[in-house]
Amino acid sequence: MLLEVSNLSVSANGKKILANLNLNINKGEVHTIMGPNGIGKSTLANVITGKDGYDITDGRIILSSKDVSHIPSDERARLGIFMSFQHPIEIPGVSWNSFLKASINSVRKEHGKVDITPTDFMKKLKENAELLEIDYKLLKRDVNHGFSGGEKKKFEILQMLLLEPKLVILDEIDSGLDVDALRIIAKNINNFRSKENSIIIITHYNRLLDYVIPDFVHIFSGGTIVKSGDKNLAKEVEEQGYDDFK
Amino acid sequence: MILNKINAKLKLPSRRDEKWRYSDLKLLEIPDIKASELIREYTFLTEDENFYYIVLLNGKFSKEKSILPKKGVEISCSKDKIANFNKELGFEDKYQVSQNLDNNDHVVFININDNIDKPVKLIKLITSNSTFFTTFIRLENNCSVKFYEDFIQHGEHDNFINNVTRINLSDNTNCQHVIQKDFEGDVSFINTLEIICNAYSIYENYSVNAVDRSYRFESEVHLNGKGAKASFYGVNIANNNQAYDIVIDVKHNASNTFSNQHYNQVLDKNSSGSFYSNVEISELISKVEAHQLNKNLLIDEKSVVYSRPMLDINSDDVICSHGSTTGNIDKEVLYYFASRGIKLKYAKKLIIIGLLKSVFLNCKLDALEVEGLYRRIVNNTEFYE
Repeated sequence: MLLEVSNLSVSANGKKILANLNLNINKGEVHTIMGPNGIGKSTLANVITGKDGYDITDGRIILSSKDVSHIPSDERARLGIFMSFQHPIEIPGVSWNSFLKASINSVRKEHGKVDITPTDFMKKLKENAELLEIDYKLLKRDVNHGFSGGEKKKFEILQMLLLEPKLVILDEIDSGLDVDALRIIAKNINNFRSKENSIIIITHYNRLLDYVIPDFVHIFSGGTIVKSGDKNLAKEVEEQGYDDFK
Repeated sequence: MILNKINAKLKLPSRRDEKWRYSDLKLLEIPDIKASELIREYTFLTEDENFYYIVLLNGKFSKEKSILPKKGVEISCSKDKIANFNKELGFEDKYQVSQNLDNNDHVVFININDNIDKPVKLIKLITSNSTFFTTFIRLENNCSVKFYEDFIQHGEHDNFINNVTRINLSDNTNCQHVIQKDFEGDVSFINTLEIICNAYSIYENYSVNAVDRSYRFESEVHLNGKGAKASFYGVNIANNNQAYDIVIDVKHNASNTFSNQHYNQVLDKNSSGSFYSNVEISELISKVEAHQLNKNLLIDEKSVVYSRPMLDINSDDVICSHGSTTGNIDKEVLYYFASRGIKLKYAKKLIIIGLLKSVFLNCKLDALEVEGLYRRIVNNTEFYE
């Protein structure tokens, strides 16, 4: 088992957001979480990655047999949890070069490896940027600064490829993408998918799932998973909407 | 230290009408080390062959230690020449009012009458408790020069530096002016800079301020000739009860003139910083462009910022912008770093360095020189790691 979320209840500012949630993910699996807006899908992603501002009132999160429920987010990232942001943050003044190098070296250090050499870094960066059809000029800019929505999402996937995490949470990676960008991103998610990692896709729509076929689909409502099934469940949602799952 | 006590009482934003800053206050203090005894230790300062050197020891010009080009630079300390310089070039007479000119070699007049093939290091070595420098610089028509004004203070004791620099740029001249500091002790520093730019002259000022106990930089720029340009790029890094006070007045007195100011500050541990800029655009002139930008990061709750980028526009034909931001490090930004495995301290450092470096992104200095400014920023933010 790679990820085990058991009986998880979470509140923020005194308001209960997640209630008694259970989710088990094995290595190599792709899970999709679907649900209407404001129902707690992103909260689940934030809680798994360790964002401040949430109180875990009950339950726990286990990653590779280690209880990560209360460890800081940077440590969780170094242990192999990665989330692509729904709205990637712009950081003017901080170059992609220094950000990505710091990020890669943090993960490498956790695994007892020495820092990546500048040559290897550039090679790896270029190779993966080409896979995502990212304009080389963008690599020289500051983190997401002045990027379009599609470019930001491509850079989220670029970071996923560079960091090679065990558990990937894609929080609405498909929002704001045109057809071509969606196809490129989906292709890279499929290439990344392996027996050694697991992916959680959080989405409203079925369109990404036409390219990335999930093993499991979960419907989220009232702060917990109300129904689970295979890829056909996503089609059911698309045809009927979420009302039947409340 | 009487002077440091006086300086400590200066509240930000400081008053700006004191006449005393044009005076040599050295007599109030007792010099503790003779500069001449120390100069042997400082021979390395003039070893780099990529520069020419004009050396001033505790305010006095040292011909012996200076290394000048064969032509293009004239230096004099004559009282009469300086009086004429002020008169000819329209500087106000504040200096003569209060300065004792008996000591001829204490006021240095640098006249540039040719292009200088290498940058000039204007080394201002300080070994006494209080030092007064007055430097007058004139660039004759069509000359270019790059000045590194290096303030180097010896000894781990309190110091007060009072520096007055007047620069006159004749037509079609270009002056890049980098202010650098290397202090061992606690230094309170008042730096007064007055600049006159004539037609198509370009003045650029660069500084990384981090090692002063308190620093007041007061600059007055007169863009008197058509096409004249003046730009100021600076960063202040304060993390130990320090005070930075930046005051810049730019007067656009001619058409087609350009000015730009960009100062970013990072303030921590009960420090304070101010950016008061006033750009005045006269009526009856046109095609003027002026920009002011000040971004501040407050790291702790006790540090404070005063920011006032002000435009006084009396003409219709202008392009102007002014902006100021002040805040803490955004928690969402820190979370983004953390989500990629980067530790909080290192994330803060990258954000701070990023904000400071951004000042020099579009400046006209060579890449190697910008790298030098970046190195100063990185060296002075090591404590965030």
